Amino acid sequence: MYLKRILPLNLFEAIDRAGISSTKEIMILSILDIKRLTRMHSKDIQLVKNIVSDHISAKSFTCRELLVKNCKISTGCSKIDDILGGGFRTGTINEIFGESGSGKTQLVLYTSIHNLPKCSVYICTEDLFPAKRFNQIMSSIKSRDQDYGKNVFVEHISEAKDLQFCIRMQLPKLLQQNIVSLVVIDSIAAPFRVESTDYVQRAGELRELAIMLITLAQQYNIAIVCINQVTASFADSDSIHPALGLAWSNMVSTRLKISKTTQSVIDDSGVCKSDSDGQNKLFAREISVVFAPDLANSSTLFTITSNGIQSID
Amino acid sequence: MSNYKIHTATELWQKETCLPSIPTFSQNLDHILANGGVQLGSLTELLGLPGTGKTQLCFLLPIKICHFSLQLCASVQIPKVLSGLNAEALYIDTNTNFTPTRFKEILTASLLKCQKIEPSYLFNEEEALDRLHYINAFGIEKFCACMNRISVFLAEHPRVKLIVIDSITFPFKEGISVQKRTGLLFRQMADLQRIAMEGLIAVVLVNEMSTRLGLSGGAVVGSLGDAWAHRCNKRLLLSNPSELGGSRLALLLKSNNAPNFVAKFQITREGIRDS
Repeated sequence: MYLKRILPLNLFEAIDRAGISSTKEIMILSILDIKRLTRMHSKDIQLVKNIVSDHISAKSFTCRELLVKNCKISTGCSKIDDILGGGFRTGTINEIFGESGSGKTQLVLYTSIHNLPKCSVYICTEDLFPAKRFNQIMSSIKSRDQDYGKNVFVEHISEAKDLQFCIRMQLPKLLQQNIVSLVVIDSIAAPFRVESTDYVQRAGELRELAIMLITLAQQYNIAIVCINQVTASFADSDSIHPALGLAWSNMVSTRLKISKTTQSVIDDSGVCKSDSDGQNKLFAREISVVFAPDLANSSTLFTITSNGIQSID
Repeated sequence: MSNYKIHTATELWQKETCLPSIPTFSQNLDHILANGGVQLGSLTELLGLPGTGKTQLCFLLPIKICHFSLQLCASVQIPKVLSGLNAEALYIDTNTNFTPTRFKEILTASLLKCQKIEPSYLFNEEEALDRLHYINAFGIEKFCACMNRISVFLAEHPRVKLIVIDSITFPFKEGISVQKRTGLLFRQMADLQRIAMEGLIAVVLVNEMSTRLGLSGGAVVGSLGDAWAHRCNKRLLLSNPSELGGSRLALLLKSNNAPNFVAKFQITREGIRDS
């Protein structure tokens, strides 16, 4: 047992007899609490705490040492990468929210394809995984001659408890066996909006899930991208807000918004519907940074074509 | 009881006025914090919804710490904006918001600005980057371990004059019940307060907002409960109202030496500036 290895034998036995078996309990309980349970001396208890702290505590780095790490997963579209400072940040939760049909799934699908040869995990909670669209985008990338479909792991989940099970049990196993750098949850809102509205319990479940995700992200240097739905605002009838409330918003470090614009773009290459003029028209989508610790609040336009995502100059 | 001594108010006043504080680059913000910035020896709390600029302000404060003290030139007046503390800073990251690239961006911009104001100001960017110590304390266990070891860390790095904890709410979100949380948090804060006062170190804590459900709906309040509101000496609420365009507001909710006031500021590529 871990504790047995690091503590002196007599102290370990006293702790063990009282039923304290994890480093977490030793850190959280106060000296008085532990004294009540074990009848040890305060000095001994402090010594135990110090030994455990030394083992768990992370090393301190200077900022200069931190700058060397590579932290961004490219989206595959250079203009979007520019406003994101290189792409989605690893080790943290990135959120994309927007109205239905604005292009969120298209963007993350494109990102997971461009993440190859590294693996991606795609968890679908709303619709079936868009396999046909996936193949359509893949076939347009001429340099891909291998079957890169093997590098995208897809899971379909519809309930919150299944999602928790997946993240807690299945995902760590997968991460141990494959080099995954991107985990997409499309969407994070759907499993939590079906059940009854006990918001306090929902907030607790969201926090637990987010912490599990971030722990894995930090451990394996993965970017987590969560798609979120929108909810209306009573105060301002024009604006839309991301769903799931403050409990979720506080867990997210980077928040992006995708919306449909009324700006149309003429395109002659894609297989899109043409209107009475005979020209193919696409509507531009806008992706903007709502907040991120390292990005300005900029935005850029893109369109969705048969080849995936294309930025507009 | 060996260090027990009674001071007169005059002695304390003299001590307080000699204490340097950590200025920001926004005069409005320095004005509302009184004494010219974040005070050494006290606990300052930053509150705000996500995206209002708390982490940006936390990036800015260590920059001022990392400034070198100026080489004195005989006939040149040294502007106050350049006075750094020639010290080091500790950044305890609990919510994955720290990005070294952004910190370096703000550091480079402010060092260049200083050089424009005072051309004889010499700086070494690498050394300045070395003055920020970063600890990843994600999760309740690592956070408690970090808090337990803080005095050891400060003994190893005696030039640390600023401790930033971003954020103080995040470690307690999971894995601990609300009752245990209160006890643990207050014990840690008692230790931290003592360390801050003895070592004359400024402590900045970032807090989040949560919705308090009441009978008639929800109110958005600071996290960690009512008792926590008493814990810090100063509380600053940051907000980003959409009506103001790019400007942001900082409201001083509580302070022991300044009246309630609102400051307007902006977050730019170079950090924080007056708007």
